[in-house]
Amino acid sequence: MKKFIALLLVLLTLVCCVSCGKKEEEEENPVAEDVVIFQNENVRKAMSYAIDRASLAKSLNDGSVAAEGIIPFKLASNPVTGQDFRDEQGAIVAYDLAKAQEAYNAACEELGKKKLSINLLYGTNEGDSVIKAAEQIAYYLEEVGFEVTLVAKQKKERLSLMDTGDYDVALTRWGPDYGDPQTYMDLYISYNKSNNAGRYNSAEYDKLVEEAEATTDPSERWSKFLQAEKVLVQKDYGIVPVFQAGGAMIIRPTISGIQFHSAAVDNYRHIVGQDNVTLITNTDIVYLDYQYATDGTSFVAETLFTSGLTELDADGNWVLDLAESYETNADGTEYTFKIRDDANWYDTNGKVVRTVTAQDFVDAWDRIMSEELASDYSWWISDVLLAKEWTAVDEKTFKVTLEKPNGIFMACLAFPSAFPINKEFIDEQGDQYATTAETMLYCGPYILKSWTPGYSYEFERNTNYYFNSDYDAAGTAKKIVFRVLEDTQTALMEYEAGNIDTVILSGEQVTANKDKEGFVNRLQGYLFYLSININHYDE
Amino acid sequence: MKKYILQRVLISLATLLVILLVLFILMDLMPGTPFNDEKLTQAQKDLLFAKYGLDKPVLTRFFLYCKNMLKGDLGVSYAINKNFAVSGMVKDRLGISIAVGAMAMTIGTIAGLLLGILAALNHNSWIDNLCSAISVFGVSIPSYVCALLLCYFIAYRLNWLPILYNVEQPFISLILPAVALSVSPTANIARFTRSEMIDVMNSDYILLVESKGVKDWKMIIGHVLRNTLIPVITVMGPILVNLLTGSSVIEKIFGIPGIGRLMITAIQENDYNVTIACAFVYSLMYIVTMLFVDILYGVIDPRIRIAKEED
Repeated sequence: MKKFIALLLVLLTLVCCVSCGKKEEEEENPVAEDVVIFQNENVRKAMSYAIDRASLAKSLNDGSVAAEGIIPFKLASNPVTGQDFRDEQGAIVAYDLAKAQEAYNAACEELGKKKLSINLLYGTNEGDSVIKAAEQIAYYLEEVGFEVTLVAKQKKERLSLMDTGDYDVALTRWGPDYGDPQTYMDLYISYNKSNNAGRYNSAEYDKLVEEAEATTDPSERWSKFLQAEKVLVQKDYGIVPVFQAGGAMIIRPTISGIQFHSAAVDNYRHIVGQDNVTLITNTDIVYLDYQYATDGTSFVAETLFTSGLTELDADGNWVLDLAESYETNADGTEYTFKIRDDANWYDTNGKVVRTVTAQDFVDAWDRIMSEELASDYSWWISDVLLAKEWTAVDEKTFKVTLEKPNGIFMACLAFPSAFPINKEFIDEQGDQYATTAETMLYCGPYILKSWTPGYSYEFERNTNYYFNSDYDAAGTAKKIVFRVLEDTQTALMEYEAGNIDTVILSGEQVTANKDKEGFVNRLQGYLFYLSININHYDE
Repeated sequence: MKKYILQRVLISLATLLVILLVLFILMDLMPGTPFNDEKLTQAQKDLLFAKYGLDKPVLTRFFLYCKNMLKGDLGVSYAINKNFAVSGMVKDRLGISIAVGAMAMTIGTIAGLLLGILAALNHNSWIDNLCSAISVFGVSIPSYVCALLLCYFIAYRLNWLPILYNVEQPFISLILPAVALSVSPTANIARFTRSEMIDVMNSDYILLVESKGVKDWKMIIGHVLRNTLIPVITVMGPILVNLLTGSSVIEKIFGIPGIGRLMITAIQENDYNVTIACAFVYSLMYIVTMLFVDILYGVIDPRIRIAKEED
């Protein structure tokens, strides 16, 4: 008994120590003392001009490129001319040490300080490139005179600190959800408390973005976005874009047809060249339920086994998929889709369960929008597709009414959040739905055969899928296996040994394998930028 | 002896309960939440908090958790495999980690004891020096370096064994990870065995045994080894737990879906239920192993058994 009491006491003391330790930590501010310096425009200007983005991107050595604005390359193209947003706008950030120095000196004078201190927050588990970039940014800022302290935190904690405004400057990123400038522009509207962590507040910017989103004229919308980006980045220095992420990998030269999209889900549905293809993924599927998933890995898997009304081709343009044909009214606010007669639901053994109906789309959109599901992507239907009403006219006719014309509507139907569901199957499965290959139904070109969490997931070609018969001659992959593997060194050995067909490269491996056949330096949609805490201290 | 064991078991149970409470409090103090995600709005975060009952006070959640745990329900994962039962996740991965760990421990114990005994019997000879060199080498080289060397030479160059873990041939594909993991325990056990054995061999009672004319091998097995093993078992307990609960690095290199990796990911993702379950399993195994070691003492060493009975 004595021993037990002693043990209890020791543990209680431990608990007390831990809680006290925590309090002390809270008092230790992740914010440098000069809380108001970021309201000074010259401080932000100095930061923007101080960073040598080209050298930084080059040193990351993974296909990353210097940012020229907040909108990444290959995100969206002009609805009239087809020109890329980035090319049309040109570079609106620059590296100019003299200007940076001048702005820094002016800021010091205006603030009455000899030296300006910044705490630079970044995530330690967000990839090597983030750590490298943070260190280099600190170096560039110190070049003009800033005193920089690096604050390294786990990603979740970084986001939590940004949520509460307990930071100065943070290296953060945004992955676009769809191929339109709006996916970035929405983030910095003054009343977007979820994403505008620094509380950048500009009436001019708000107005431009609101007008762009309200107009029905595509080219007016486009030009408003061009102006808005300039206000945010070039006029106000509200954020400081740094680099657009790349990704170096090797793909076995015998296979082709993997379609990378920088602003949409990568498409693995058309791989040809080998019967069995084994791909490496460094993260596992988080959730098979595509109405719940939020991560890229899950989305890639989901677009293999489920289809929507459209899909994206290699160039990122939409083509009809489960929809056989569609009609739209004169002002583009009503769309009527005819669903293919041969679109079916299959179980994991490839057995037909029943046909895909218009009601399946209605059920899907109702379910994702329901509060009960608390889906993270419910806004896809309401804010991206701009859908107001959706009905099943008859078994195979699905009709959608939009709030206003939407140029990206057809392309955004290719995203898993807009895919159909089989409601009676979901109800039947209850809590078990989407936890294994057996408790899921499929309507895509591949069928999930098995999923061993943390290890691998395997797909088999759905031979009944309408486009697969066309591909038979071309040699579509019969089996696609995704193997979860984080270590890039063993992955490279496994690739060399011929056991896997793709390998993601990091660090020195990129230089060593640059000339290898099958080496790809893909550009991703992620744009890394410095979020500056301008107004979030006061709340 | 029975009373002693009963007492130890009760203390162990109480310790586990306290550990669970501490874990809960620590989780609560951890910065961030499982739902810190740039794509989630505050309203959605609140909904998720309410959905999983995380808006309730720590103690309420603790009692609820204990109640569910008695039913074998460890909650669901919030971030790693959303809505998956944690008990299933832990069970699947623990099995693999235990398999690798047990293999590594077997290799480590046999190799370590052999090296240690060999060194002690040939004290101050070149064999002793060689064994010591191997031990120092084993202690100082991290397991992931060994793992990569083994991968490169044995699997990639010579193609004798598979590089990655393969569900279809678990035994063959777990040999390399087990060997890589066993390097450090081998070295530790060898060093410990050697020094203990040298001590025992120089003790008075062994001199007595020797002078009584007991044959060499009989003396070594019956007297020297038996006395050497007691302290060696003490160090083996924690080593065993360490191996059984998985090594995050080795699992990462060989692509093994084990519990070590799961725990690290859970901590990074703030996946409370998974972290608590993994840490709890770790504690449970540690306590059970220590209990087992304690009981084993009594079996090996009559002095301890008698002392405990008198206590």
